[in-house]
Amino acid sequence: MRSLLALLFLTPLFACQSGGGAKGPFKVVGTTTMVVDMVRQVAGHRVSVQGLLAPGGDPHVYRPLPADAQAVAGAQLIFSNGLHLEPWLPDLIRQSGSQGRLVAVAEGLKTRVSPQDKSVPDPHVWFDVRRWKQAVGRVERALSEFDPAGQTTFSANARLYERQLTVLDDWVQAQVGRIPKARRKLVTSHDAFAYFGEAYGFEVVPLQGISTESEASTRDMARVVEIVRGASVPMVFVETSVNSRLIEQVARETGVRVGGPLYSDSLGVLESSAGTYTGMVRDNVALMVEGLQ
Amino acid sequence: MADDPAWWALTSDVLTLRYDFMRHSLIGTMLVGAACGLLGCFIILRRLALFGDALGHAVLPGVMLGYLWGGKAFFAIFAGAVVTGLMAAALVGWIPRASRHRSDTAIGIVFTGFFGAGVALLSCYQMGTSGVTTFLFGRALAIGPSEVVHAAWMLAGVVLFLTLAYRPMVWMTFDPVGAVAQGVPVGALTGILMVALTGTVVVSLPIVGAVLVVALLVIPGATAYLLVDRLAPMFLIAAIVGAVSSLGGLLLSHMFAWASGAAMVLAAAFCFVMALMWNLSRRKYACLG
Amino acid sequence: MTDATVAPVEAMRVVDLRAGYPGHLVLDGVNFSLPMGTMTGVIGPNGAGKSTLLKAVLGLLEGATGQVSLLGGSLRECRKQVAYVPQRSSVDWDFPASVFDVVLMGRYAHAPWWARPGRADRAVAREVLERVGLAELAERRISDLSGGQQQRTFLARALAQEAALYLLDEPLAGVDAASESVIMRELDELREQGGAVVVVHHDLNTAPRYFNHVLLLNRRVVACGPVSEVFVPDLLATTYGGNVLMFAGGKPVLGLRDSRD
Repeated sequence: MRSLLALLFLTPLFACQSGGGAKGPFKVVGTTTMVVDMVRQVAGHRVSVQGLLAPGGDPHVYRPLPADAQAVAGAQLIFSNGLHLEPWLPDLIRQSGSQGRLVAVAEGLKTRVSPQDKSVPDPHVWFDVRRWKQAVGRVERALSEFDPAGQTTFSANARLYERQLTVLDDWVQAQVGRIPKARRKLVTSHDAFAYFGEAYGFEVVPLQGISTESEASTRDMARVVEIVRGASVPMVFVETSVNSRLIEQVARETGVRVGGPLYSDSLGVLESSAGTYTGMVRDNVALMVEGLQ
Repeated sequence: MADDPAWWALTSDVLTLRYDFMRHSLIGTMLVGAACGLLGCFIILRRLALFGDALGHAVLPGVMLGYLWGGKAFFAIFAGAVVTGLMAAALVGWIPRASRHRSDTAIGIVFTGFFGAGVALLSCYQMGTSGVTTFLFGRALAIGPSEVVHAAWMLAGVVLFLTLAYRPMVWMTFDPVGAVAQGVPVGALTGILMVALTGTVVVSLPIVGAVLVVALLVIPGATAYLLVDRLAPMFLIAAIVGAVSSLGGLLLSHMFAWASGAAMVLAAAFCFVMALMWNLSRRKYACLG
Repeated sequence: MTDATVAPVEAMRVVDLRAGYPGHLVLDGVNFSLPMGTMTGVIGPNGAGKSTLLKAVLGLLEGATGQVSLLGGSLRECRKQVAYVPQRSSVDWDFPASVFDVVLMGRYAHAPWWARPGRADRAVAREVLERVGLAELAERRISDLSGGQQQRTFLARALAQEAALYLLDEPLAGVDAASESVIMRELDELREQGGAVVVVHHDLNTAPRYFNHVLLLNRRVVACGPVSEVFVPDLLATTYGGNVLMFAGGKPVLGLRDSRD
């Protein structure tokens, strides 16, 4: 009955169907590729998860498609990152009429606030592997409530995944150690790497703020150029989901090489090495070490 | 963010062109302003201002298609823009012949239709805020060395066209009927004017944006028209006003983070108002004898 | 500029000309010829196709059929020798140009399109301005001129072209008396020197005084010939559909009762 009402409500939205849309309502939906990856690791083969964003998409400014509304409408469990990473999500859920339960995996974790606006948290928690690991338990609990019969499986998967993340964290620490302290500076398009910086000892110099919704101003450009020159930063990095033009301008201005692209707000395509969270972190760190050593 | 430069430090940075990227944006903008000003004189004199507005909007789907097909390659974008620009021009000419509608109605329909298609393409492609803003309203920081080179070429092309075709263009603008009678190739020249206009619009897009590019075409020429009595000085003044208002707008854009297109149009409109007031005061004194 | 070869016998010969605008045929089989050394007034009611005739002869109308020869040849061959002065309203008088600039445009026909007007051209322009009495206004902007002054400027432009055949469309419309006499004097001078002048004219009263040749037109040629032969009551009545009054007295005066047919 509920699905029928939702479908009637959604009929006008069926006007444009683009490629990659969901086919039919899914029970479990995730927003960003990082979140979807975590849910899949814990759920294993028991539950199939549908992701909304495609690899390379920017969750800050994503515009949901009608297919997304369709997917969300039929979902009983919706996993998001939370912390305002997906500002479009509340409207999407409301307009689709979904009765599914929303679980924001990053909420409850210790966060920092945005330097521009103290009332807004920084949502990019997944770059601190140890902190991201804390979200696994939350996913496990939500899945167990949704599918009680699978509780043992979820638990086993979750423990296994937590161990993998611990190994990953140690690996990152070791890798980062190869970069001299003075050269541990990350110049990127937007402020996605603050947690990474905090966890692994990097100074992070972003052009834009927390969200790509607002744009870098000339003031920001001048400031970043000065920092890059003053600190003799060896390399600046572009990101996969953000327009690279301004970073390239900084590089041209300062004569510094451009590295990357770093995966910031999205994983890579499924078939690539960066298609999973662990793969993405490894690829990022490899790029950083190679460029900054 | 620690160490944000204070506004006076930023102003002096911009005025002294402390950074390469500022230099690029200033030079590129002034070249585009001059090219638009020059070409805009003929747009105004041939009563094509509304059409110029239409063209600025009609190239958007072509630009998007070119971008999707060829990436950032300028040729792809230019080719796409020329195709949809000329399609729009042809439709605007055809609709009044094929129906009871007049040309201003045709323009209104064609340009909104094409612009809508362009915006639809923009939204399908998920370019994110900066991409949309750049194409629609211009972005000072988006101007790099390649944009400067394109602008230089475009200005050279416009100057060449105006120098070579000056007499026939003047003739057909002043006396369209007589020009045809004397064998002036009015159709061919109009076609070249359209291509030059399309090219200038495309080059101006990242700097002024599709929504406001017509203003940069029309306002400098309109200002010059108020200030001089003869055609040759009108071109010169229009180019100067175009370059200066682009420069002024860009400075404002750098300092206050306004969209560059909007800032430039405001600067140009300011020049126009000054010229209008001067013109009115001159007339008043002439009446008083 | 004199023609070194034998002067053409006929200024204009038109055979079976049909022309008009899309969906609307105006001239329905026009035949006439005009010799050199004439000043011809084209006379007829509204809608008769007078302006259309000039445009058709100049190749400005699509879909026109028939044969037209100007100065013994086709238009393309003798463009430089044919000067056309369109109706004053068809020109943009707000164009930023001085009187001198406009007159100089008349010299454009004599040089390639990329060349700048030379000293000789400027001399011709100045001389022509003297003749029409606009020498003091040479630097005045054309939008600041009166109707008569604009028409004289337009005429000066045509004179600067130094053509052999002049086609003028309503040159005396809205023009003050002084300008009118200057214009007609200059046109008469052209005729004296052996050129041909064709004028679309609207005022029946002045026609016999100004022209030595008349073409009566009402979609077809009613008559064409010397004014004494053609400008007669019967032919005028045919042209105007019977709506012409004539008063015989010391001077022949014509009145038009109803110009609409």
